[in-house]
Amino acid sequence: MNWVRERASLLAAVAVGGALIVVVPAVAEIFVLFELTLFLVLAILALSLAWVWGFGGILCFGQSVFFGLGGYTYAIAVINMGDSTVPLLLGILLPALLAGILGYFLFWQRISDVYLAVITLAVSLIFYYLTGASAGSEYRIGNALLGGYNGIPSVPPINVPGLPEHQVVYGDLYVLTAVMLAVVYGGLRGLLATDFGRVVVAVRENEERAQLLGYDVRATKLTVFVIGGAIAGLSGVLFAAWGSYVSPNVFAMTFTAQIIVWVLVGGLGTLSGAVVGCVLVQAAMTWLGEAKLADTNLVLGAAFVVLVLFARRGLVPGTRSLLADLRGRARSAP
Amino acid sequence: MTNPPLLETIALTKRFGGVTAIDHVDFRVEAGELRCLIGPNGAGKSTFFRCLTGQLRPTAGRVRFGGEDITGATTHAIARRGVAIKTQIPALFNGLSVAENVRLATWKADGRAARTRKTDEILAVTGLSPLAARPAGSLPHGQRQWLELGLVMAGNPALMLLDEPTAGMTRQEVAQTAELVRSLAKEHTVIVVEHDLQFIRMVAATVTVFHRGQILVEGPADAVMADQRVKEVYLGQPPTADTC
Repeated sequence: MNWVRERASLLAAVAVGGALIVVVPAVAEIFVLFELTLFLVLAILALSLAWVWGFGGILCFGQSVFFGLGGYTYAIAVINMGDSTVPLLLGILLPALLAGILGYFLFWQRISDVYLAVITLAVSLIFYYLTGASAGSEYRIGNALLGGYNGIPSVPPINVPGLPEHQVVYGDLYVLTAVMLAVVYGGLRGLLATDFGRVVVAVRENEERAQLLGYDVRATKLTVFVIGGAIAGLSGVLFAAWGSYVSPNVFAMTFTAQIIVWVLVGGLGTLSGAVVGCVLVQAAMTWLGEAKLADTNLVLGAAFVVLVLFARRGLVPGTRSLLADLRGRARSAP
Repeated sequence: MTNPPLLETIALTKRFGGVTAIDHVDFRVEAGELRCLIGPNGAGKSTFFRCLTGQLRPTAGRVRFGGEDITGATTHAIARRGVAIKTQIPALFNGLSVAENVRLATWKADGRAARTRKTDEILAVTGLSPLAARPAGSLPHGQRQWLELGLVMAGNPALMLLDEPTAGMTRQEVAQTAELVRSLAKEHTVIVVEHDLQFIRMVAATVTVFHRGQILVEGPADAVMADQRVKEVYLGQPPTADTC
């Protein structure tokens, strides 16, 4: 039974991934593709938190730190270098490094969940004010002006490695992003199936027991956190390249809270839920913003309350158990 | 030169603020021994165990395992050296299946196939094979105890610490557990904290009596239970159903 469900879910993931990468760019208009690209970029960020929180059991309230750092790193490096290959890698490595340093202090000091959430949130706000205070011509790194709250405009796009004149924009950026999303999703699923992945889940379930069985809980959590930081960094890079722009808003409280909402809406403890939750919430917000029917945050807040009351486990696990219920009922019916 | 004891504590002391839970305990267990620790509630037995596994850091004194000092080592490092514990309240991975729980404990087995074989073996010995796919969180208390015993066995440790393995079990289950512990003791060194005197008689071990964080008496089960001081410690308080 278990492997049947496992295989069905894998097939579904491959089908959705294939449709996103191959079919959508063939049929969608360029404007729609541009919008969709953003959703998929943010879905990668949602995956990073779904991994760190839903599987690693680390309630990180500041996942946006790594996202923002990835964006800023990419922007500053690519403005100075021209070619995007190294900046892209730096935009992944630097957030991973920060996650490593931060994680070392958090996990070796055995900071409990609530404090960890508060500390990561505080770090996010520190970055918000630091980058915000960088207005003026004296705040520059090489050719890149940091620009304070105005952010960094005119960030060059990603290019084919070694060929700065071959830019990856619009439809191509969409495909690149969709492929990245598929790689991250597939990579995390594969990782969860390994012995290491099982230990990650075991640590989430019961830290004490994991330790008593000889697993180094601190090292496990640190590895999870670093992987999560790298994925969030990748998302930040794509975000800066997509909008040719990055500003302190990536570190803002509202944004970091949004990531948590995506994961909760889709369902904590699933990977697909994070993608579904992120795309749905972002699409709803965009639509509400354009339609100007009501205040976006108000509607989103209300929807969140309804969800917490009626589908506490989130959309994907909720739908799964509903389907299982229906199937059970159909089988027991005469 | 004789071999060093498998486990030795030297003046082991643990204080919580002003309370001394363990007070200069000198304790030794030889390899291959089956030892029971008894003592009234609050005598410091569980605290003593937690100092051995590194879950608590002793205030003073040393812990030596296999001749090496492991005082203050991390819990997972001590576990890797071959100390496994069944905690007083079963600590399991509640959201994972019974089989998955056991599998995580088979880290010593080399390779996927070996782990699967070891997992099946443990499930069979503990009688949990029919429940392999159930989430551990859904098991009744008695079977949670057995699953945790299975986790302890799966790592094939040199030293097994069992903290009240029969708590909450029926008479028949206690007898089965005693049988299991006896068979484990043939290949492992086992220290059991237990209140149930019937269980202690069944495993017929050497008994160490803890009282107020210190060792009161140590010796063969029958002699210890006949000891006047032990009777005072236990019988000085109103007797309950299971404790004597």
